[in-house]
Amino acid sequence: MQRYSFVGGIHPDYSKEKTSSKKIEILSYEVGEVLTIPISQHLGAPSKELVKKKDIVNVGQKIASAGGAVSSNLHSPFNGEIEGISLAPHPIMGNIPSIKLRITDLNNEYKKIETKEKFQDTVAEAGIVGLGGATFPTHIKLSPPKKVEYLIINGAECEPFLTCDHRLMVEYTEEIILGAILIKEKLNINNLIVGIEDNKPDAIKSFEALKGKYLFELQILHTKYPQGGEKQLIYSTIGRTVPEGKLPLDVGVIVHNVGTCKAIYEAFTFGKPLYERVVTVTGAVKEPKNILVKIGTPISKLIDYCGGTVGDVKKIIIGGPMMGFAATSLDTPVTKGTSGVIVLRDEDLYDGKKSNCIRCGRCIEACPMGLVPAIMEQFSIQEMYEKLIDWHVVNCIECGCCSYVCPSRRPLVGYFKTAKRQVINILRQRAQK
Amino acid sequence: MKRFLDKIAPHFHKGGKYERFFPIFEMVDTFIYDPLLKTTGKTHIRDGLDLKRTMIIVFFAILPAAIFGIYNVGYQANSIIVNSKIAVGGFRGFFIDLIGSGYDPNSILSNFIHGLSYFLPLYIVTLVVGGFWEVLFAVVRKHEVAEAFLVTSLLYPLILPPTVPLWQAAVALSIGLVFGKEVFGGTGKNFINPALFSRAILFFSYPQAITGNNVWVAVDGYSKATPLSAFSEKGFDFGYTFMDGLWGFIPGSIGETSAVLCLVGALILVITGVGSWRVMVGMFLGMGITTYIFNIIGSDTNNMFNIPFYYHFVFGGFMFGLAFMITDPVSSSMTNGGKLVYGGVVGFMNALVRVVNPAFPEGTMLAILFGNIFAPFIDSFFINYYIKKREKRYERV
Repeated sequence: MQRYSFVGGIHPDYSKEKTSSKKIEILSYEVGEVLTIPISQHLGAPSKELVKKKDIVNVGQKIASAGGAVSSNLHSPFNGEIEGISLAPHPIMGNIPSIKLRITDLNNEYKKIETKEKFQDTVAEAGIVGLGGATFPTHIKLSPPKKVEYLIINGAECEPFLTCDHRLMVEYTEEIILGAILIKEKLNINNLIVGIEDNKPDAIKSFEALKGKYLFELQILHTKYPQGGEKQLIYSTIGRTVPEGKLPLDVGVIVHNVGTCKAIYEAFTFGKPLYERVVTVTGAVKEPKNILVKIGTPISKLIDYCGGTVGDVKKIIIGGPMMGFAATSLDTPVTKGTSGVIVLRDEDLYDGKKSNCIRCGRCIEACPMGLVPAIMEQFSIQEMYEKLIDWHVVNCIECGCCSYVCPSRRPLVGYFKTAKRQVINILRQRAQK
Repeated sequence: MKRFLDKIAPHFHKGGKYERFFPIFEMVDTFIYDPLLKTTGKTHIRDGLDLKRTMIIVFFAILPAAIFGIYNVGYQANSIIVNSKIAVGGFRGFFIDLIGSGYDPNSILSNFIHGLSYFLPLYIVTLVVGGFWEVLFAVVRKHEVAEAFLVTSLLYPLILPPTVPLWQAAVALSIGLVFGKEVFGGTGKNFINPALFSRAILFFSYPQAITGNNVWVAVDGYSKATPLSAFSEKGFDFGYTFMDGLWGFIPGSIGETSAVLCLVGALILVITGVGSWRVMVGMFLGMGITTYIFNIIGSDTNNMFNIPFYYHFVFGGFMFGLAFMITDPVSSSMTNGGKLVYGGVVGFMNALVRVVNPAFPEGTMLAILFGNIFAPFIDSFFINYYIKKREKRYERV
């Protein structure tokens, strides 16, 4: 069997076995609980709230609408009463305005979204964003200005610890395929490829079982981080390289996460808006689980549901351990982009002291984009951003491989995140001139 | 011990009495216990292989070659003493008499203790002198003492001949460490290997201590050439076989004689991922191909042209350099392609110095220093090549 892969990357300790065989459980709620729904759960402009204090809302009712071209809608996950709009912690953006919703009744029947004529508008109406973690509004990705040749479904899930996509692929195989086929037909795409890493044999099996029923190509990928990175996945599956600063669309490809496909399918056939997602809760908790969670649930409830923490907890990470962010508060709510909640103890965070770069070149070997982190880091520290443009820092996908392998424990990827922002500003200024 | 360290710790942290000496305290503490300081970064998990573990692995990889080297120094000396009855004077003789291990070349213990009497003073001097500079710079610059120093200080005595006067070794090490490493900013900033640079200082400042035929066997006034210089004088009847070189019962610098144990060290480094196999392969090929070409050319006046190419691998410092010197990440190339080329350049230069220049039959040191200087250049060449290649790939799409 051919295994597809890319150059560079790392093999971290995946620690997926804790949750990979556990069925998705549905988190139960009680009347009177308060959910915190941040009004910005996606890339782009924040949504505009449509409700005010003391409003009564129903399941699936739109509570905030898109605040710009790149933005998305929000829907209420429960019947309840709005307690107000106030600042609350967000996994990535610090404190931002959030809608507080008190649950008044546990009725699960959602109000169907208005189905629009255009497929893309329906997706936009349902508030669907990329569920892999980047949370880019999906309807924009589905409105390509030119012909798309390939639709790639991303089932790699290369981040260690996370198994939410894995479970989705095993339990909702048909929904994912139907969602993918929907996109394929609506956009007139010729090829549909599903890429799955070879460490998920049960997911591969369930997809293979459907091969006769639907038309798609299944590609088994080598297990390596960051196999699920958009650019890596495109290279691994069809051998195309996305040019610097361009989108996959420029090489005739769109990539969607398996969770997004399922959401699109549900929105289109049942009119279900996006207000819940699967979250992997793992690490130092009593019973690691995959849970179906309503958006806005505080992570403390998730951890309690898994039996609480074990040992001396040092950090709670929202997202994967490579690219995720440490939570600042236990009240941080689950958003559309939250794929995991990982509790780490002191002893899990093996880390040495930072020392000088010894020029060993391990970061160069690991970089999936073929960059030279060791030298670029020096430029970043010296703030030589002009020079960094020549060294193609824009290509950096912030996967963290360089930081992972660095024997001197230098926070390489942190420097590049800062540098990238500066460099993009410089480039924008240049373009204006 | 842990309690004691914890108790005195507050004095060394910011605002404490001995804040200036924090680096020394940190060195002791991290050497015995966990590191005090933890970095917090954006990636929440990290590879288990950090700088400290790297250095410890290198240390253990060197150990077999070092232990054999110590034994061999004693063995070489004892085999001469048994036949010629030359007395061992000075403090070494005193201590060996005190222990009573004698001078029997057939006794492993006797050989080992005799060798230790040469290696240990050299090692202690290196640790004291090197440690002094390292700590001085760490205190003044307010950074921590780097573990790399432990490796450098083990490597340095191993590449010296056993009889080198201790004060000369100390002077050369001081110059080498300060001007080869510390003035550039300490660990990671040096562009040449400090241990080799120190040896080069010694080589050019006190040539009588490190070249010629009198220094390789630890017996006063006894002269025996290393295999390579013997070959350069006498040609094929130089008195050693390939197997001698492989096992290492030959005169030479302390650690470098046993090719097979250096190879064991090299294997440990490659398997653990600490040393780069690319550099090693590059050097091996560079040396092999160049000397093979010299074999074909041949020469009537220079014996070194005729030495079979595989002899080069086992005699002299080649194997030691291949395993422990050239794999030093700081002074070698960084890019994957660059590593191969860097190794190749060093191998080529090694052959060139050994064969074409009869004054220096031991060319490994000079070749590696030469390679060190060119390593960043090789890198920049490869990086430019990568960037061009990427642009081409974009065009294809």
